[in-house]
Amino acid sequence: MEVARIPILQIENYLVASIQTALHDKAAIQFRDDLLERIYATKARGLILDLTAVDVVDSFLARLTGDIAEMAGLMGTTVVITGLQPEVAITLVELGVELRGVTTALNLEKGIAALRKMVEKESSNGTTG
Amino acid sequence: MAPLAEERCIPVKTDLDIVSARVEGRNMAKELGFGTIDQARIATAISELARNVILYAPEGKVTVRAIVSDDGGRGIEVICEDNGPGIANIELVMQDGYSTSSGLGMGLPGTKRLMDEFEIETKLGVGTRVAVRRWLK
Amino acid sequence: MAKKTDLDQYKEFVKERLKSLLDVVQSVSSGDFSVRVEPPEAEDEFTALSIELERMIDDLIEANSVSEERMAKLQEVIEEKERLFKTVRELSSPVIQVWENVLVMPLVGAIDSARAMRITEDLLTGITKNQAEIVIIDITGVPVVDTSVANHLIRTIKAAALLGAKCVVVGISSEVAQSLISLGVDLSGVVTRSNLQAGIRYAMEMMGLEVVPKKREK
Repeated sequence: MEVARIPILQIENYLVASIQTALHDKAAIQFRDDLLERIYATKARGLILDLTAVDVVDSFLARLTGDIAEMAGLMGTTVVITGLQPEVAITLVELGVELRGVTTALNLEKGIAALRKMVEKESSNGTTG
Repeated sequence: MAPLAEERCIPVKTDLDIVSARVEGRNMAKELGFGTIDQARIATAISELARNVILYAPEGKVTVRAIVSDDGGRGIEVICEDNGPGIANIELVMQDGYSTSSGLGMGLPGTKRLMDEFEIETKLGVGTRVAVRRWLK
Repeated sequence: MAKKTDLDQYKEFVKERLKSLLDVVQSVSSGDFSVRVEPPEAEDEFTALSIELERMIDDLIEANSVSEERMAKLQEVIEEKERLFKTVRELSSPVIQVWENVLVMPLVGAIDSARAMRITEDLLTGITKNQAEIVIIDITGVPVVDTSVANHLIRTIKAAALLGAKCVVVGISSEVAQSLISLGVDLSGVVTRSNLQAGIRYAMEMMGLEVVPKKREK
């Protein structure tokens, strides 16, 4: 079954993907695979996942996000999540789900600023060329 | 507790149904006057419950209905039933941090925290039924 | 046909008069004051009773209207109190921007579950509106910080973190600190400072800012 793919854009040396529609499980998994493929192909230093249009983040999506961060991290890519809505944030905390290994920022602008800072720091530390 | 005429039933068999169920649930919550945060809680609870059906049972269904309490308060009730194997140890699955060997939990303690009322019935070899309610405050 | 004796006639008369009085009493006791006692055509043994009954009904009607007036006044007072409470609630978790991207949220008064939820919502709204990256939560004015309040606070901080804002809690007195430790509350992830000033200094550090004296003109 053809699953509509989520567009992944490139800004400077970072990848940006914005989730616009409700993702069912198969689409989410497809998305994760696409992302990891693009990271590998572009050797992007950072990835921004924008969740502004996401109105529900359940334990499955939270776990998937954690997986993306972990796998991207193995490839030397920092992941920043932006645009989490207040009602989603409150629900996630009540649900008891932690977004492990992920930096969060309010919006795309702050996300890119945070990425830059982190990537700069890594370079000055002499890690992953 | 008297149910109002409003009731929607969504069959759950594939991952697409999880999204349908929570969209229906969120819409009904909105119609009943629940705020955005409660809508998110209800939709997330439905997502967790419906996913359990996909993970552990051949199929099931989610019923969302408007309810009225004895003292006139209004709320929403979500019932998720499946014909799965049933839960052997309810206490265990209701513990935070419990997960099966494949690393998947059932999200039930979290779901309970999101809602005002939580009831679960299960029978081995027959299936499981979870009922959750949230009231307008 | 037997002629009615005087006694029979008298019995009937009594029955009739009693019945009409009884009807009135029954109406009044069920709240209907519209039925009144019919004045007797001629004075009889029941006249005195009728007059007193009328008087009693008049008193009841008056007492009723006084009671209704009082109820209406009470309702007004209740509504006024509600308005007052609403104002207090709104004032009770203000979010103040003290610097670009830095918010202060001073909390005063007891915090129950309902208020905790409002605080969380107000804070997240404030973070979104002000694009805040640091929030200083001042709990100096919160009298009781028990497990419940602490847990609400921790949840608020976690939610703020998901929106990219770091929180620092200030104003924890030594008594509160001791009771939290003895209650076994895990505050390990929470950044704290002694007071608002220290909190602001922390915020400035985090933002990479420094406050230096102006260079004096020679």
